[in-house]
Amino acid sequence: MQHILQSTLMIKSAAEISGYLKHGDYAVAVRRTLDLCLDSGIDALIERAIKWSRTYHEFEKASAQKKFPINFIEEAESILQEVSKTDTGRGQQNLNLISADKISKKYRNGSFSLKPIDLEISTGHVLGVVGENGNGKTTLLRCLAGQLGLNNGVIKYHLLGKPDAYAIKNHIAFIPQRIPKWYGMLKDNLHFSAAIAGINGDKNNLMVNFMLERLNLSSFAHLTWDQISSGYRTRFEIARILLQKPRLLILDEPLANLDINAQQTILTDLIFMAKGAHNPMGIILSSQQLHEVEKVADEVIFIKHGKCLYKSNDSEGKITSNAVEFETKAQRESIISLFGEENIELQFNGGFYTIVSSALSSQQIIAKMIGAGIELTYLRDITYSTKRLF
Amino acid sequence: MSKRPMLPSLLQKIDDKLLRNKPGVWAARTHLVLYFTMAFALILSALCYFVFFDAKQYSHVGAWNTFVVMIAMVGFVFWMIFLLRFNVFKRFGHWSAADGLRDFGLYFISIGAMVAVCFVPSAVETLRANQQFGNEEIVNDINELNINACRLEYNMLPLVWEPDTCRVVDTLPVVVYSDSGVQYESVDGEETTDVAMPMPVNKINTIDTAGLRNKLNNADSVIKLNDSTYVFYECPTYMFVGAYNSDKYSKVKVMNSADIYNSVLKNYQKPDRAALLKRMLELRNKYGVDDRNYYGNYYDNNQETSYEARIKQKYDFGRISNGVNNVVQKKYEWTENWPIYLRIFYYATLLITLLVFIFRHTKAKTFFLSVLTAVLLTILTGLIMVLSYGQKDISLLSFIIVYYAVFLILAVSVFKTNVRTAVQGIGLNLFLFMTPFIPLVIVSLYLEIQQRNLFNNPEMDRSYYDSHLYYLTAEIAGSVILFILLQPLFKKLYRKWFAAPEE
Repeated sequence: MQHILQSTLMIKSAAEISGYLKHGDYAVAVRRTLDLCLDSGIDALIERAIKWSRTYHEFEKASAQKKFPINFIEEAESILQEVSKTDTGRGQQNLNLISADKISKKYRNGSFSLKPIDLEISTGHVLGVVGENGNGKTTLLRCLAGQLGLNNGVIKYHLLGKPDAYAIKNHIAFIPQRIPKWYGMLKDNLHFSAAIAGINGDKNNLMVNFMLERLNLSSFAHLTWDQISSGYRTRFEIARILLQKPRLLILDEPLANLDINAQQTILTDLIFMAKGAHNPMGIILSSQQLHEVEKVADEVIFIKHGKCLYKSNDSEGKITSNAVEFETKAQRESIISLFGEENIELQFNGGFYTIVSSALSSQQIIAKMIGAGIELTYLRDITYSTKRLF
Repeated sequence: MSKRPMLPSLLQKIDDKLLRNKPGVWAARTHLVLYFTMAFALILSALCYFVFFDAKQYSHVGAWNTFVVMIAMVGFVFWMIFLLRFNVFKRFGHWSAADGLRDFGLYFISIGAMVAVCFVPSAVETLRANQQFGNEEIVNDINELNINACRLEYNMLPLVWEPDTCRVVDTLPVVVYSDSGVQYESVDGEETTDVAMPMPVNKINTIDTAGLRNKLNNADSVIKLNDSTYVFYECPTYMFVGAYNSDKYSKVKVMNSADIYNSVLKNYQKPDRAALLKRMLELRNKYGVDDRNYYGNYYDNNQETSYEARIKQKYDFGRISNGVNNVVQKKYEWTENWPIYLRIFYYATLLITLLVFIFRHTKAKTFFLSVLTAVLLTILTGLIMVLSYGQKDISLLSFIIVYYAVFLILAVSVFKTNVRTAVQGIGLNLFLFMTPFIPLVIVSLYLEIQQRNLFNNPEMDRSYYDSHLYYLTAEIAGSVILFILLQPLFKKLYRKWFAAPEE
């Protein structure tokens, strides 16, 4: 039964990628094809996908006039057909990785303390940690990564039994906001990281090439750390970490150094890979980019002054008011007069207006403003967003 | 895979294979170190081979050694900074059951190669000296020089042997100095004489049995007058050229003055002076080297009129002796001193290897704090010893053992704690660093205590005093203990300490 389900899943994924190709969304198609081939676990297919991806990236770099090779689409369809025949699907989800039970931390030097927090994370699960600067996000992540000792509480590593600290750090990958410098050629570092994770020989080459293609880093592989931008450094670090196949990936402000396109791409790629069959893993990430995080995270927690004030999963069904954030040149008075003072609460933070209403739904608020001809330059429904907590 | 300059393609392939299959071995870069040190050693050997073409000259190997040590240090720094940047342990990678030993072995080989290259000039110098001068050749030349000088200057030489009559007694009188002059006392304390002239009458010297043995060994000729009286004869000096240990490894021996007297002077025959002088000139050209002394050769300047001085000056034996000494010293440098060289090599390599191993397994901050701690403890111990009285050596050794015990406790406490502290790291680093030397310290302490006991009690058994064997055993034991504990204890301690959370 499972075999049929997995096979069906592969066929469905292949069909989805065919759709991307059909509509000219090649970049997404290439990334998804690579993922699908990796999940298939067949080296020859991965090799083909890498080669095909290189063709695409060469085309992408070339001038706009240059056309794809004639067999570009045919090769893609052929790969997808091959993948469809395999019976490996998405990774095993909801395998409990760690549970933190009332963990707290107080630094010896300094007044800051992280108040007791409970959380759980499983494979394929993405947990977003948000909060203002200096409120304990990094402390929480470092505690979970085994980098800081706890004052109280317990962290259980369900897949490790009774692990020592070295085993925990082998099990969990932590990418700090400031990534330590790499020495030597970038590609050597990737080969080394794969090798110390037990990926040897030709497989080592294959996986390094795969990761370079997957994160579109092939053209930078022969450079050194000082020769690439901070955004690419983050991507190389992610590539290195993914080669080591951690079960839990913890990222502290991974989006800080990325451009707006890369932010979205990296996040969705990470999430997709976390749910893959190759190495299903859990992800915890902290970020100031609330909307990006909320878009991909299965659960979001908000930390203020070291205390967890909000958990998105706990608050489901508890929201009593709706909120819409918008930007307009219209006068405050005209907005209030549109809704009536008793129906809404209108706030202005100097840039955006926020309407909070218990009587009206978000859709009703938006429809009313558009209907009244109020010119909106930015609009977002933040009813379920942690933005309301800032 | 990065292309390294000056690396042959085969080694490049090996490097690539190691990177992808044996990252621990690759990260030590031993294959690169061996290649570059061997290449450097070959170039250096060739250079030294041509530079050290004249073995009779004074050795400049000290300067060469300094130069090579500097190069080796640059190589070491390069290895540390540019090559040892990848670390399986610090990246929390998979490691095998014996990787601590493997890493230590690889560091030892790499550092050993860099240390060994420092001995190349000295080794090439010895090789060149042995190529230029055979063991027997140099002894024959020394004998020829001395014999020819005697034959050429027969008329100048003294031929009478100096007698020395001695009476052997069981116990020599003890000399006591007092205001009234020198007094001789027998062993039981009775005063025997109180005279200004210390020598016995009729020029008969008094010696004890030890003196007798000594004189029998050294005298050129002896006549035994009765059971207690001997006449020792000393031959005049006919050896003008010679060098310490020159015939130690030769089948032919250097002829002493008595041998020369018996073979040439006793039944003197007039030589062919022209042929001998020609040969002397040849030998002078073969060995003659100017003195290093700024003021020139002693015999060139002095005004001595003794036959020895005149002969040495006439045949330039000062310069010839310089050359002979230089050749002999170079020829047997390694044969004579290899145990010292071996120890220098081993301990230099071991010390640096320990430092590198510790550096690779600890935090950089903790490493430098450990060095600082060691320096501060040395200063503190020195101060305590300066300000205290008593047995300095025993105190020092006792201090070292106490420190070791403290470091051991700190290191083992790593197993019990869940948080990484710098103090434990320092303890662990110094515990590892001291371990191979602790047997040596304990043996030294034992021998010092025994010596003190012996001083207080002369009747004690002295059989323990084969200290060389004790020290050698301790040296070997230290290395064996390190070898045994490295993986099961030290590596585990480092794994636990390094991975533990901060605070």
